This record gives sequence, structure tokens and C-alpha cells, in this order.
Amino acid sequence: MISDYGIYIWSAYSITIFILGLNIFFALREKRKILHLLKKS
Amino acid sequence: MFAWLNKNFLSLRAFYINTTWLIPWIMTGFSLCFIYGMFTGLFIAPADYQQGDGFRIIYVHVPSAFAAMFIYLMMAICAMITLIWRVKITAICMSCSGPIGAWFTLLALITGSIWGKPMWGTWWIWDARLTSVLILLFIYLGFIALQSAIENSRTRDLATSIMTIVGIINLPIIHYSVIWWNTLHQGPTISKLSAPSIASSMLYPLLAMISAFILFYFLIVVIRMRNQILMREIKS
Amino acid sequence: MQLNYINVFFQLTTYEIKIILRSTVAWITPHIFYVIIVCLFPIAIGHDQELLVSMAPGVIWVAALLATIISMGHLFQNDYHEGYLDLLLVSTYPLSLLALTKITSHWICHGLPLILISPLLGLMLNLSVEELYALIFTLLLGTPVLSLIGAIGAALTVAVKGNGLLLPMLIMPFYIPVLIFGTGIMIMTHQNMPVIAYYAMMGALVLLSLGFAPILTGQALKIGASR
Repeated sequence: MISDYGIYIWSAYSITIFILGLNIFFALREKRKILHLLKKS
Repeated sequence: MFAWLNKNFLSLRAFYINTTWLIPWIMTGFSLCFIYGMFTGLFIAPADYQQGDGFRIIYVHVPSAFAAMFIYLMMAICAMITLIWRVKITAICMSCSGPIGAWFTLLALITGSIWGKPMWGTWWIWDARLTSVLILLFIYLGFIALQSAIENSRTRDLATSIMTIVGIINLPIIHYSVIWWNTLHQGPTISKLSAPSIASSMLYPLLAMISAFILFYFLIVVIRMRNQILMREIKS
Repeated sequence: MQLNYINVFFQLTTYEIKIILRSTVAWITPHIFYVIIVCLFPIAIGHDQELLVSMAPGVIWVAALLATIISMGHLFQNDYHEGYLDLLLVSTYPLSLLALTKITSHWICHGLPLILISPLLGLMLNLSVEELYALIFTLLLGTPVLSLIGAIGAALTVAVKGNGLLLPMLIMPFYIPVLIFGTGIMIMTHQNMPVIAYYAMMGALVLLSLGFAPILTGQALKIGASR
């Protein structure tokens, strides 16, 4: 059924999940960097 | 009374402690809403009479557009509180929300173009709502630029607050643009006072996705605010 | 011993105008830039007269926007670096009055010449007489709004070092409504359609910005110029 939906829906949803994932990724990477910095000092 | 408020909610330390137990709750709420919305929206909601299955992009386009405006509203409220009462936690909230809002606006524009191609035949058109959402994106980008240009943290908070408040005029323009100018973009689907003009089997996934995006915003902004609080702790 | 605010306003405005006009080259550069941009478009697009007339509103307005943004960057910079701005901030005069004097002097020196040169440029772009009148009116209503809104951005970025592209990036989203209504006036005049609504919206923009921008500029000055 996914293939019935065509390229438009597939691309829209994948771009959405990509951007949401990017946000989570950068937030967690920032957190890891800061905890690393805190552990050093 | 203000001292009690300050100690238990508004201080950076209190915010950090309060959000430590809050994050798992936001994560569960987001996961539930997101999974329900995606599953129901993609598989269970019936296909639209006119547009066929292509209308399902509404389940990412409307939530991201709503989130983009909601985030700017949050930023504007935080800006006013920062300017009037010089509260630091709202300044941190505002500065962390900026990039998130920019991403959601970009997502709204992209998903809108992808939806526009099969529905209207064009990727882009300069009608009132698209132009004003593009202006919102530029305002977000200008906010991010101003924020990174000023080093002194107090000046930066106050200057970005003023800029956010000046840009609040754009939000009513976006919201009412489909009512004032009767051009290509369709009218409002969900309004506060009248019954929604959309079938309820299509409505519930939409509401779930909107809630999911808003909970996602809260999750990310709380994580980033905690990072900022730790960063300020390191710097001092 | 508080002087009358109107007296202070006129004296300070004439003083600022004299300062701006003192260095003729620095004053006239944005206007030459304005003329050059408007001349670039017909060169780039070709000789089609009809096309020139239909794109004339946009070209002249975008060139006016760019020229104003360029001259806006220097609004408060010199005073900030010389310390004169700190003196103004601690004086007992209301900040919105001081902001208004700066904005008025900027408009008289940088906005009025744009309006006066624009009929010539309109003739170059093959506009008819009614459209030239509309051009003058739309710039007459629009350039004060540009000066007023740009002053807020100039006050916020007064202490920021680095290249001068931050201010255009901040202010351009707020200039877009002025652009839409300003070019709307000229496009409607070209198509002989009723134009009063666009004039009304431009008038509303002028009044709104005249009411809010000096206050916001004053607050932004206090914030941006704090050391």
C-alpha cells in the first residue's frame, strides 16, 4: 500500500522524519559535548 | 511571593531540577501521539474524495506550520517577559527556540511545495500565505544571525527580545492571510468557534500529529535549555 | 531648565543634517548606487518597452530598499564610536525624541533625494505621466516607513562589529510589506484599476511606524549601546 501513495507522500514524510531526527541528533550531541566538558573541569 | 516563584520555578537551577523528571513524560506523550497519528493518518484514514491519497501530506504539513507559528508565539511571550521582568530562563528559552522554529518553518514550506505540485500543478506561488510564511522564515534566520552577532549575554537577550516583538506583527498576517486575500491557498480547516469542515476520521490523526509536533518542540527545547544552563554554569 | 521639546527637535535635526551633509561623498554614495541599480536592470533585460514598464515598479522599489539599507547602517555608528551616543542617552531628553531627530534627518538627507531622482529614472524606464505621479507618491509614503523601521535595526546592531550584512538581513523581512503595498500602488495605476486601498494601507503603515518606531528605537538604543 505504501507504493500506491507515490513519490510525493513518501518524500514528504521522509523529509519530515529526517528533519525531526536532525533536531534530536544535534540536541543530544550538544548535551554529550557539554557533559564531556563538565567532566573535564 | 515573587521570591518563592523565583526560587521554585524561574531560577535556572529550579528549572533544571523540575525538567529532569519531566523529560520522560514528554517523550512518552510524543511517542504515543506520533505513532497513533502516523499509523492512523497513513493507513486508517479514508482517502479523500477529490485528492485521493495525496491529501495525506496534511498530516505533516499542517502540524509543522502550526508548530512554526506556535514556536514564534512562545518566543514572543518569552521576549516580553524577558524585557519587562528581566527573567533569565525565558531569555534562554527564546534563544533555544529560534533554530527549532526555523527548522519547522522550512519543513512547512517544503511539505507545502510537495503537496502543491500534485494538487495545484506548481511547486511555488507568490500568494499571501506562502509569502508571509517565507517572511517568517527570514525573521527566524535574522533572529539567529542577531543572536550570534552579540557577545555580551545581557545585551544579546534584550536585543533579540526587541527584534522578536517587532516581528510578532507577522503572525496575524499569516493567520488571516487566507481570509483577507482569496487566492490559491485553501481556507482554514480548524477554527475555534465553528465545527471543523473535515471528517472526524481524518481529524483525529491530524490533532494527534499537531500534538506530537508540539510535544516534540517542548522535548527539544527543554533538552537545549538544560544544555544552555550547564554551559552558563561552566562559563561562570 | 528644560527647553521646549519642539525647539530641541528642530535644533538637533538641523545639527544632524549639517553633519550628514558635511561629507558630500559619503552622503551621495547611496544615491549613486540607487541610480546604478535601476540602470542595471534595463541593460540586463533588454529593450522591450512593455516589459520595462511592467517591471519598473519592482525595480525602482527594490533599488530604493537597497539604497536605504546601505545608508541605514551608518545611522548611529559614528555617534557610538565617538561616545556622543552615550551623552545623548544620559541626557534628560526622552529617547524617542532623540531617535525621531535621527530618523528625520536621515529621511531628509537620504529619503528625499530618492524621491527627487525617481521621476528621471521613471522616464528611463518608460513610465507615463500618471505613473510618474504614482511613483513619487508611493516613494513619498514609503521612504519614511523605511527610515523608521530601519532605525530599529540600526539601533539594535549599533555595537556589532564585522561586515555590514547583519542589518539588511534583520530588516528586510520587515520591509517586505512596504514593498508589497508600494509596488501595488504603481501596478494598479499601470492597469488603471482602483488604487485607493493600497494608498490607505501605505498610510496605515506610515502612521503605525511613526507611532511605534521612535519608542522602540529609543529602547533598542539603550540596549544596544550599553557597554
